[in-house]
Amino acid sequence: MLRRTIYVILGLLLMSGAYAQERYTISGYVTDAESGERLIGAAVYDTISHQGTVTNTAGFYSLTLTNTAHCALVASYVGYAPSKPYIANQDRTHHFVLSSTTKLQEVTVTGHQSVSAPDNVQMSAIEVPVTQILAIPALGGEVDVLKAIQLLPGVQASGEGSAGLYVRGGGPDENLITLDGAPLYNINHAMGMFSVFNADAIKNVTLYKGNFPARFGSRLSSVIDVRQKEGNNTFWHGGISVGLISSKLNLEGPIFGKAQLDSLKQGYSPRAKTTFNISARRTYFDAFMAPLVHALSTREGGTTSVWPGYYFYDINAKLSHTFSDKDRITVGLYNGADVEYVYIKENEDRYDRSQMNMHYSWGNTLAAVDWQHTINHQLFLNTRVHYSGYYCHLNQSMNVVNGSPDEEGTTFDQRMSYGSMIHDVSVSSHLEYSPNQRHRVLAGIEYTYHHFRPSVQNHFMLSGSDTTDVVLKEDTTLGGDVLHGHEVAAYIEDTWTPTKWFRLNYGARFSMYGINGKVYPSAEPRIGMRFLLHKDVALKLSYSYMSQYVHLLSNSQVSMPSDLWVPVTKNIPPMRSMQVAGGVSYNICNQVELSVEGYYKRSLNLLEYKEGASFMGYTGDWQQQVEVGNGWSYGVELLVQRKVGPVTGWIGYTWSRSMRQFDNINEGKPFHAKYDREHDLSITLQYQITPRFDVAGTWVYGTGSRGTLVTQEYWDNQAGIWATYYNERNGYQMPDYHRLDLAMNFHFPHKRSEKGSKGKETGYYGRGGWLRNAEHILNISCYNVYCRMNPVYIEQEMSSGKLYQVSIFPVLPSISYYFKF
Amino acid sequence: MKRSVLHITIALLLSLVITGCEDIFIRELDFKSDGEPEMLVLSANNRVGLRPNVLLYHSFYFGHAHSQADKGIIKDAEVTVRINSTEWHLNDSTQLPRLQALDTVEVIATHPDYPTVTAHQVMPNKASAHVVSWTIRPNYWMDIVLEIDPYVGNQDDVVGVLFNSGSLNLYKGEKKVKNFQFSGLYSTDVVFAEVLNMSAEGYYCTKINEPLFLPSSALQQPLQIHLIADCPWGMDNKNNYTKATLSSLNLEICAYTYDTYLYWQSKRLATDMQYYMGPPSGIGNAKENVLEDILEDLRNMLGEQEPVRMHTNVQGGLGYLNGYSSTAVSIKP
Repeated sequence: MLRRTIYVILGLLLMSGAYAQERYTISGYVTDAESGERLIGAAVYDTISHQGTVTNTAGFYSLTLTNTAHCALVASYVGYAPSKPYIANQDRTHHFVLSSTTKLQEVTVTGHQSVSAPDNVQMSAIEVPVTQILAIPALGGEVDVLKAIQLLPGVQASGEGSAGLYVRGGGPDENLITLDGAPLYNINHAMGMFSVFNADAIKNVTLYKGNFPARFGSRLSSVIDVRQKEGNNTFWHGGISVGLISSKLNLEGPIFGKAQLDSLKQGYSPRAKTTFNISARRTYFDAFMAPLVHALSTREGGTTSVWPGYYFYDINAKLSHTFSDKDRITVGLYNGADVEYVYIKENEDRYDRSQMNMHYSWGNTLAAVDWQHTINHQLFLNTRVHYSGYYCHLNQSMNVVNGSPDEEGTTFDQRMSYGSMIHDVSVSSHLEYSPNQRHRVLAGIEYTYHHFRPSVQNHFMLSGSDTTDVVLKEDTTLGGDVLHGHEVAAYIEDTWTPTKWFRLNYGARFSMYGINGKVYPSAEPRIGMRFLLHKDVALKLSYSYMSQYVHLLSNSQVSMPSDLWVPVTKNIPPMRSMQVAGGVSYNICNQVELSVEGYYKRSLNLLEYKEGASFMGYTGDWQQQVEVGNGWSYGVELLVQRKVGPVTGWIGYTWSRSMRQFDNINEGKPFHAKYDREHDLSITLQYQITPRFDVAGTWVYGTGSRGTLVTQEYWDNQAGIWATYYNERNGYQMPDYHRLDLAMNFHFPHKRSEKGSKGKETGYYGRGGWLRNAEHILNISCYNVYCRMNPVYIEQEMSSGKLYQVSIFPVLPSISYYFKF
Repeated sequence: MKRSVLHITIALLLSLVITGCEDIFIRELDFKSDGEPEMLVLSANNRVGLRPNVLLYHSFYFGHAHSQADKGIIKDAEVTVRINSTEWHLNDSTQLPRLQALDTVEVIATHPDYPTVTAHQVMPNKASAHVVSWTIRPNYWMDIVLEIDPYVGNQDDVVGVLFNSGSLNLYKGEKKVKNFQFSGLYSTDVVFAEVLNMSAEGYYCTKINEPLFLPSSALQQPLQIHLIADCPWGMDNKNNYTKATLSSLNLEICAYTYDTYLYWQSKRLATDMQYYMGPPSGIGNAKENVLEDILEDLRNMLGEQEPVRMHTNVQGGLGYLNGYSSTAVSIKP
């Protein structure tokens, strides 16, 4: 299989040599005129030969042309005015600089599609402009990247207010979510209500649901590729926002060298070689709540003081330095965590006192260093080293002292901790080769070291008295086995355009995972093809085979810190999936894209908890708690999307099914996956009414989530208990879910910037001073406008035989203020 | 204009807040039965050497409230017991034969209001064992070496070691001051790891009505197992015990059908969440109470337990037809 695939790829590449004639290559970068940021996925197109390409994640393009004496290249990107044509007839390096249309035309927001969907061979992939994400109404006004992705067809939320994702019937652990190319394990804050992605720091988000390019692997169901902003290379910019839930700070700008500083003094605006972007976010619920609860608990001479709190924070940073036209290094950093604590102190009298502390924290740390090197006009190399770590620490302690002089004094000291952690270190190299206009080849190798410590518990107890000293002492560590995993992968893929109407993306990924002496190899063929039926209509087909070497064990539908990431073992094989998809893409008047896709996915070696299993307190091998089985899902997705114009947004509808079959669950009969919902509809619209006022709305509808309910109970005479009987796992479907959210954004230019600069004319912050383009943005949003009480979970009351739905979010208005400079 | 839009917006939002603050977070749902009928529940606990017994109940559909005292017992069902193809109708005057090892037992129960239920079971062979040695250690721990004889029967059967009772007499000087009842027996033998015995810190445990299982495939040859009984108060210096003697120790060696084993497991999971089991009580009851309470809180907060359905081998209904053999093993000083 492996050998045959290599032969096919080599053969096709050799065939490309037959076309080799007089040719030349134009390469370079496409950048934003104002910030100098490199644009990902921008189209570069020759208006004479009608050949084109798109920029990669570094903003680099390479276009080789043959049989044409001259070319006239134009670059375009959504939300930007197209560039002027660039004429060339030999090898050249040319950097395109695009200006945002919102800066050019204040009233009417126009723009151009970067690459029309019918032209692109890639299917099942959606790019969501960050500008749209920022405008979408959000819970508590907290804009969230992943919640915007939940609104796309084929993607379902795990529950009310949750940022969890279920893509095409896959579980939340089947999504590869990367930040600057490095995977993040925990993507949620506040038990899934918010994602870890601070929208202020994000430059680009792309979702792949199928037809996975060979460069992506390690997960079955989706890839969400998130890229951080690199920072403006001319001016310092930033923003401060204050919302009901969190406050955010963002700062970006150039770091100038001496020559550039001299240039600045002379009144020029040089482009810096080094830029930075830093964003921070923190919630402050604890700052109000903890003192309030503490004051209430201690009022009127109360003996108990309670100090509870919860917060989360994120810090994103990116530093980039351009050595030359050919070399550039970027460093992406992320650190974020959730912290929850309760401190309880009780002083009955001067002799008896007790103290109980609970402190839970969990979070990620990530660092990614990329070296982007242009070898020549046709070869581009990106070498990356990254670290990604996740930890979860739960600590509890209790100290009780009874020391009355009339009695024997006693002390009791007890501490318990639970922890799990993952450390990944990876090195990879990715080569991009554009030998001619018919081929674009990507190849790469990756090595990742995984360090898992899935579960470690420590119990410490000391009990003593005045007379006997230590009565009881216990210090025990349970679990804590470290697992070392080694993952090696190599891939090659080629986008081949033999004719104008047919384009093929084919490739394969070969990976191996070794753990405790066991090695799992995998060959994963990928293929996607596009048939252009008309200049605006394309038929697309794809097949993807994927392997996954890690699993997420979770008892709950919401994201919990206790969710355990565990690797494959000798007994737990890798998950595999095969997905076929087909669809039609239609570009309507270059304004609206319509796509209809159908898919069928078969998944093998999925994990589910055994009946009765629960994560916490289990001190044995986690493998004894899980069952291995299979699943399949299928569905049809419709997407109508408009990215340009005063009214933008999309309508997404999904009809789907997702089933599971495990030999030892549900008597071996197939059952619905927890997140199997038949219908899912979302309408997301934004309307720029005036340059200073825009509105946005989202309406979502979905068939209810599933759960397992007791349907009968009976007296079990042998066990001496009332036994419960449920007819089917996940057999109960909750009421339908629907919700409307609205938001309004008012933009007020800062007075100083309106009336002209009063700041320094030149300086680090550029011509016009700090507040050159400053504006105030007031966001008023309302979550769940018509107060639909959607069920979060179902409670059964056995004594009364009643069933209740529990909801958590009624109508929730919010207001936030953002000062952007 | 802009100001008026803002005012209207704020007023609208405030009115919605008031609406949202109503007590609507918990709402009762209409739970339909989807036509699922109540079922017959068969309960038959059959032991080699005794006559078959059958009890019949009916299940209660969720949503039909009933008192805990009303167990739904059914007395007017027609019950047929078939032993090795010979059939008896169960009524007050019927005298069924005593069951023998490897007998095939089939039960059929019919009632006009419920679907007919059937169940069958092949009775396991006898398992046996003898005590090789037992010793009381100075720290009031008692070591027992038990040899289980080879099992000749269905290889799917599971052999269980079941603690029934046992105690130590504790002395201060020559005076007996306490009779300490053991709560269970513990073992670290890895043979118990081959089936789903719950362990904590490497200890496998049998308590009253909770057998310690091992697969019959491990009993092709005689197998010696090591059991520990402990007296946690022996560690307490305040009591100053000077001597301990065995009062008695009673065990059973049982052979269960594999169905019975599955039934035990589902019962453990449904009632005790036995994926977690505390460490041996010898290390301290106080610790068990405190930690288990905290763990229980954490379990409730951090993860739901997957639902457990009691294992049934009854077709057309619920309940369980059990089959086992038992041999008593006692240690007396």
